[in-house]
Amino acid sequence: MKNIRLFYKKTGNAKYVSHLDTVRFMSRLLRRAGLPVWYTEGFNPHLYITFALPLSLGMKSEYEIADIRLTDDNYPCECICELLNQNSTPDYCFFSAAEPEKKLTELTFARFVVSFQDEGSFYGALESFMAQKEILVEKRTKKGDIKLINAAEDIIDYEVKKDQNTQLHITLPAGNNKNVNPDLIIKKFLGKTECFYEINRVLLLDSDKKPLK
Amino acid sequence: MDNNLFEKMLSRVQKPGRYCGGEINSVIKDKSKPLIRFAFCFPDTYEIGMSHLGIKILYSIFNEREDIWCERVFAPWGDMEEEMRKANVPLFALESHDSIKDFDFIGFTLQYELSYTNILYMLDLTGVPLKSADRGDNSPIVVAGGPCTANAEPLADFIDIFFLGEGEKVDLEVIDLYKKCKTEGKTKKEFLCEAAQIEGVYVPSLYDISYNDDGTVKDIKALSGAPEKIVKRIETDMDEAHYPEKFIVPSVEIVHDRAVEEIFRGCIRGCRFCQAGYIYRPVREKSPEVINRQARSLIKTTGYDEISLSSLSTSDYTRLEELVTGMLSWCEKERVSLSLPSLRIDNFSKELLEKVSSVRKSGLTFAPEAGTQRLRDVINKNITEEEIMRSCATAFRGGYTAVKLYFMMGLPTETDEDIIGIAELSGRIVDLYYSLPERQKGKAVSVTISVANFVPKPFTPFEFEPQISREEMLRRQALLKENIKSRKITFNYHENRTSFLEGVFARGDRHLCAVIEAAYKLGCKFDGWDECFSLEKWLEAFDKCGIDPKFYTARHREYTETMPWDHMDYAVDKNFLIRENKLAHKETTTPNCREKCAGCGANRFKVGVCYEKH
Repeated sequence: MKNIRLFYKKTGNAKYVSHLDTVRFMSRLLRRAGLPVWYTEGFNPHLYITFALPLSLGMKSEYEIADIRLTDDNYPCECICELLNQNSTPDYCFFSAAEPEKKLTELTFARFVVSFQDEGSFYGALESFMAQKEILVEKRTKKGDIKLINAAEDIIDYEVKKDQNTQLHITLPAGNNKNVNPDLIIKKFLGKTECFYEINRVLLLDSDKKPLK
Repeated sequence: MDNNLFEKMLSRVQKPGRYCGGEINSVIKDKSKPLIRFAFCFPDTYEIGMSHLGIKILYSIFNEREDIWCERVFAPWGDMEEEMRKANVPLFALESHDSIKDFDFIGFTLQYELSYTNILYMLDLTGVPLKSADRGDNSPIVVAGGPCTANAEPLADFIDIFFLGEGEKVDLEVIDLYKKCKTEGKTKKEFLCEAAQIEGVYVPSLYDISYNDDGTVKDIKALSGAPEKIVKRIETDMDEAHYPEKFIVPSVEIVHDRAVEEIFRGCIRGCRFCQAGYIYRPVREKSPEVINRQARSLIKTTGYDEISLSSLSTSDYTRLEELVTGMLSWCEKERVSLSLPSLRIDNFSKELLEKVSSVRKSGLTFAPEAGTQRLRDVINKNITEEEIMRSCATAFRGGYTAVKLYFMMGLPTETDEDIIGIAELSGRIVDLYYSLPERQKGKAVSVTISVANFVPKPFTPFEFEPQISREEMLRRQALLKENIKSRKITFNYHENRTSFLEGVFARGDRHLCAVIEAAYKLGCKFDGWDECFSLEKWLEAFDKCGIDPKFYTARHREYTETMPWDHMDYAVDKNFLIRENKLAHKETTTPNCREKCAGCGANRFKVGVCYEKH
């Protein structure tokens, strides 16, 4: 048995596919591709697949991770991506398949790029908003109740950029221990202002802020 | 459509995946080439419509042709409708995101009466006039097919062409004629007149209906050379009939999210309440070899880990053991679970049960349909209590602890005794479980009884029968509830407001077109959804049009009455239906097609069970 880590992008229409539907999509994709995937050995055997971090509905991503196991130890990693892409839609594009270097639990941070369709008008306001010492946002806890947290303390790093539109590049805690959704900060910034924006999760990082591999 | 606008709309609605398209195996064609554009509309949500087998078959047939691009359209939920209307975005097809207003064809599948307002809703969202007569030569041709075309009169004003029976061939013949008429510069009217000459095509505008003073149909007159009777189409050889090699794999979960392999059409049983048992005659089987081949292809191209065999009565497939053995030989290896729905109680064997459960054990469902032998004889459900008990015992011994039983309420000749019989039968099944020493130790039995409300349908021996009133239905439901004594029995039943409406449309006439339009204008849509259905609005619509809905439901119809659907020919003779109706009232059963031919008339197709060697 061999552990394989799949790296892929989830873009286009796939950003409207929920995490649960993505799990189904992946299982079917692996079956179509005919990879010798390992099944769990419980009462109801199912295809083994585990994801680094669910992606919120509506977000796209350029660095998604899913771990599978192959029953064939000698299966060549090189042909996995091609096989998967042949059987996938362009919205899920695989760019690497390799044996994992670190455990998925070492995921610590995620980096996002938020693009506003504002013709650049938010630039100044966003810069001063981000420079605040306190950004109070409402976060839903696992128990379901709502808690006020100061998101400013959680921001690892950020940069406000501008070309035609304003962009926020931001790194936030991610994973099991602490997870902050950038949408909380954006919603707080926008308040009642209506503006279309897109969130792109560009990287998942380990505790050394290196891409998780 | 502008992609930016599209994304903005999607960002504000629930389940945006419903409106995206782009799924595995969906078909994209090059628009720069000349194409006949066909919008295949299912008048319900994505999750429901995508579960339907017919759409998959026709989608595949159409798109195999280089000159046709068939795309899917589903009814947008209210939140999406709001976004579309706000942004002035007309109804669009999932594949191209193009507005279907400029398509050549808009095709609807009519699966249930409660989707009728959604047809108007979708035409309205498209931005074409609702009525056929108001749509000119440049509007898309609006066509419809499916089981409800057995009596499509309530939709006669809205649809240009109905297809009777199975659509595999007739749809293409009509499209070919359309292409020809288009190059010849013919008008819509000329095209419709020519189309009416194709077998299986019903052009409602070419029939003049006159009525008696009491509201019943007086006469049906064919105009412009249209045939007096429109004969349904069928596939004569199921092994040769087109079956898709691929299914679209939806990216959001749908109701029946699995591969489906059709094993035969029609049903030998002739249960007298069941429209499907008559309108799909004669029974035609696919061979196990073809089924195996097609099923494997579906599993390979979709990646599904579940396949379900589809037919009206799986256990009546003549070579079922052989088929299941053959399929399991690869299903197990490929970790595919095989499900056999629609098993009958009488020929349900232990071997079959063991085979199916070797993959995965799911619940068992049986349909005795009526609580007493007398009533089961009336409806021609040829099973005995002994057979029901034997099958349940087989299931319990095989490790099952849950059975689900389907019944109907409001059947012709039904008495309180028959209702109480449902409770008693369920009670005896509970007792049976505890009497078996081999039952699963330490586990309680669960018997779920689901009771549906009987709605008389055209082309069944009960098409003459009155439907019981809502008040009476409520009384009978309460009576059954009172008589259920065991806590191991769960009783599920429907509110009957929708059954009433279903009854009106099932045997309705053209006067109902105005009611449907009025109801839609009052805001009725998604009538099949509890949260959307409003009986009050419907009653207001009937009232506005001066129509008493009870005329269609509560009335007993004479054998001599001209039915609104009498110009439809489903190869089931009216005399046969009358004979069967009389037998029902004498509590006499009719043997199934394999035991003895009952002379329904379907043998005129010269195929299938009518010509099997028994």
